[in-house]
Amino acid sequence: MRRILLTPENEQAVKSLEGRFPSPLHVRKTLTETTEARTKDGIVRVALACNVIPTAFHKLAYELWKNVNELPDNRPAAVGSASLPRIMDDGMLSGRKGVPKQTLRVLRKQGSAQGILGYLDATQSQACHRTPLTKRHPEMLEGNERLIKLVDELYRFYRPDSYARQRVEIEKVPMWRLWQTVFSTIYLARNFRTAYHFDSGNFKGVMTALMPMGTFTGGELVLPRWGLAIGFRPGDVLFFDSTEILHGNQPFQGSRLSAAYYCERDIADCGK
Amino acid sequence: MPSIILDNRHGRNPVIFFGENSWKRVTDEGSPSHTATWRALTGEQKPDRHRGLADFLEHVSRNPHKVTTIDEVPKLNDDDTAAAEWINSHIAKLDVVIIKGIATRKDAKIQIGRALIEQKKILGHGKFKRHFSEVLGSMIELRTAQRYMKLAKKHDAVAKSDKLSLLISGSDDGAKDVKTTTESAREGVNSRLGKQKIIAVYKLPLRLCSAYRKAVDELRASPAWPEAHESVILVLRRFCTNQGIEIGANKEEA
Repeated sequence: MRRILLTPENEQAVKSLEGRFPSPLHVRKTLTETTEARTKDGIVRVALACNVIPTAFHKLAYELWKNVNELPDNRPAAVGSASLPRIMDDGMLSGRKGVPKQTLRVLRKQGSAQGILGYLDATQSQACHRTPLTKRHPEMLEGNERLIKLVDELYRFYRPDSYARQRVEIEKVPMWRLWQTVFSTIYLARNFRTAYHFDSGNFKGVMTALMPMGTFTGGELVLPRWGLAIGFRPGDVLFFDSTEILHGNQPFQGSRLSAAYYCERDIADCGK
Repeated sequence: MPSIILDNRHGRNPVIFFGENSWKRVTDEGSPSHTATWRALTGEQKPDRHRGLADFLEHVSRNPHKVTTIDEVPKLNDDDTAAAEWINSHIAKLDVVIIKGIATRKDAKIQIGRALIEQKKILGHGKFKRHFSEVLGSMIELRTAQRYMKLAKKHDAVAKSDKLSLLISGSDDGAKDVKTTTESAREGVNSRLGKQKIIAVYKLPLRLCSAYRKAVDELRASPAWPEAHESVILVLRRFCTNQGIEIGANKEEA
């Protein structure tokens, strides 16, 4: 495994990038092989494992997951848009905010969609629950049991410290996890070229496993904090803390689906 | 008959262009090609000597009616449009060549500097100097090499703390579409900012018979409602004050 040292970019400039699209100018180094990247303090921030998912697994996953069709109307930063009040049919402004309808239309045209599988923690209006997509299409999860368990194994192998922390958290609520893994949820994004964003719903201080699928070129994940791009391909898995590290995608050509395996932030409260 | 352009924009060193369809620049004194130019210009079959720029200038001054003079940029009229356009475009092309050269020269210097730094790092101080004098010394002065190394160091230090490149956002078609639609949506929202749905409606538990309710509905639909609305609020405020109940600072809602 290759080991590299990450050198930080200007902090203020990086902070101002949230909601903006990655540019090739933000990249100083691109990772394309199995690598562990540390900062000066010795902490491993990014781990890329290449060619670790068998082709049959990620191809099956792509087939089962490619039909997700929800629009990312609740993720303005990732869409690269602003969160604006909705305009109702009578021309009045609604109290609800989100990605504007016009922008959603553009995303639909681009073929962008999202879907969430597994379990979600409680919100003000809803208790912990199994996602509607999982209820409608249980095969999306069950058909990929071996893949999900493999990603769990890889997580334990490549980032054992993060894995252990996540395991402690999720074992508080064994009913709310995917089989015996440390993941409660899988976020799917189809043809979704994201602007720089943080993932806010994930459990903090651990890592998210990110896995691309499909047939595409481009689409590198850019981490502007260190001028780093991850040129990962189907079969690769990336581990990084997506709640703390700003990330976004370069544009891509072709069909691209990415799956983020994570643990919901307040999943442990589901047992109360 | 060929035309002559006298370009006086260069102060003491005027430039002469000469030609019909394509233009030649007369600058160097005594160049053999000038003989042909001179022949074409004056009709002289065999010039007795090489003609230089001074001769051309003299010829130009003797035949002012054949000459188009360019004193400043831009000075275009119907006659000299083609020539001036050619000059401008050619000068622009030359600018590109020069600027590219300058950029490459700097890049080359930085690259040389980086390589030298790496060599010095690997070889160490004493060995580096010996290697330099043996291999590179005949092509480049040590002082120049040191300047290149300094330049490379400075350039790399600036690149590390470069904020500007981070401030440039992605500008591919997808990103542009999202930005454009978001901006138009923002404009739509801004134009409706006065039209928020009133969410501060407070329902009073009034016991009204159906006839009263109908009448109040009619009143609400009539133009007199804003005044009636204000009066009802005033009455409520008066009752609250009488009872010693304080109304908070949020006057918009009250």
